Amino acid sequence: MRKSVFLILILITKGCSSQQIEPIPQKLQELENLTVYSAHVKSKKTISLQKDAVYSESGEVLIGRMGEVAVDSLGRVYIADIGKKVIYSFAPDGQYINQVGKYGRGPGEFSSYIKNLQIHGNRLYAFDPGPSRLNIFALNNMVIEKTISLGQNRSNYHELTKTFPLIRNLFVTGGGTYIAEFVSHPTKDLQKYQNVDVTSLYYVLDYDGNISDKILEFTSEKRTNLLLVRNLKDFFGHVLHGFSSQNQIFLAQSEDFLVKKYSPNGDYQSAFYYPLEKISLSKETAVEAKVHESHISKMHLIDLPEHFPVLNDMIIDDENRLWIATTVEDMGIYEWWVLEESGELITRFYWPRNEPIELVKNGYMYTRQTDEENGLQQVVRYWVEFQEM
Amino acid sequence: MSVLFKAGQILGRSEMKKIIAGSDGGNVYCMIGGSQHYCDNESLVLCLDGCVAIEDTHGEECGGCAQFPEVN
Repeated sequence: MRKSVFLILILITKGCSSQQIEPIPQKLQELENLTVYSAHVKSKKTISLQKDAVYSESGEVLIGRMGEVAVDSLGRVYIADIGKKVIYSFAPDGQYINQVGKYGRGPGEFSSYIKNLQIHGNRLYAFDPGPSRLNIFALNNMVIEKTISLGQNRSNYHELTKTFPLIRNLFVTGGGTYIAEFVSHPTKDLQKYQNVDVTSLYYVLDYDGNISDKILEFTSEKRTNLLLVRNLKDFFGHVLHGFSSQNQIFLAQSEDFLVKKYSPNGDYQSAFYYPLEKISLSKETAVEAKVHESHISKMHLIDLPEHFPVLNDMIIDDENRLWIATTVEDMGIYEWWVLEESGELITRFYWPRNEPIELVKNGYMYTRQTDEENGLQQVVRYWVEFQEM
Repeated sequence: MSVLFKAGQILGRSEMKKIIAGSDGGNVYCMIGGSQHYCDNESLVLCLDGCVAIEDTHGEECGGCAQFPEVN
């Protein structure tokens, strides 16, 4: 087992502060089954994180460009290489095992990208958006089990003829079906630097990848016309999504600490809200937040929000806890909130922005670290322990 | 497009791209970081240059651009 550096981090959770309580926004007041928590609620537990394994390139494997990460029930780690279009598997202790899939257009191969890397049961799922294909690998022998072409009956759905040509995201549900996210935004007569709202449509796909029912439609982000119409997420954020082990859908708006919960059929169930203090967005704070200079130089041309996004990332762990990254005044860090499914606070801790948390599973937290000198990335595993206050 | 298929004609970069995309006119989308983005220009070359520039400056992979029939 690799034992390079063992670092024990004991993270002291925040207590009360003297911040002003923000009023509930008007738009939330008519929301049914809304639970409003105090932003200054005390943590129930502390969290400690102990670094114990690293997954990176070695003499055996050279990673071109690190993409998404997945972990199976045995603790094996799968890292997508979006440059070479392959997936690498690692033993729990960091030892390289083998390569899964390869570049190409055949079964088990990837031609455009590898995204939505997910584990369900004893299978690894990986989506290739260009050809709209899902590769399913058996984890017992790492061999391709099935390749599914998605949405071949798309032309039967008039609404989908107006969305972008490719499926944006593909989520695997526990019931042998899938949820595909289609997106669209207005494209007529756009002005330079104009913002447009992106609409996301969630459709259920059956076992064979055919589209069946639409379950959700929502505004998922703003994009700005910079020739390519892109989401400037440092400024606007975007809707964060996650699925519980019971396939409940969680959507979080980034402009408020508001999380909505939907049934697997897309029926709204409940929501919770924390009235967090927002951080002003200005050129100075954008520089502090290390927003790319090409975006900072265009700030005066774009109709920007007054505040940074409140929420930046959301993960649902295998015990259905929500891990949510919030913006704080120190632009080098996020304050991560760990919540029960109901929204009740378990604990909070600070974590560097440049070490994003990828997933939490089997009692471990997996983060991505980048070597500032050579740009090489590695996945680092921490053992997570919660203790009663 | 058929004018591009004259026997023996050597095709330029942009002409090749038009053939790959399969249509004249329409909406151009570029793949950046595994997601499609609309390009507010009909020139595939210009859109591709913008896509590659994003890869160079922001480190997000440009997976190329293609033209699709206009739907809006």
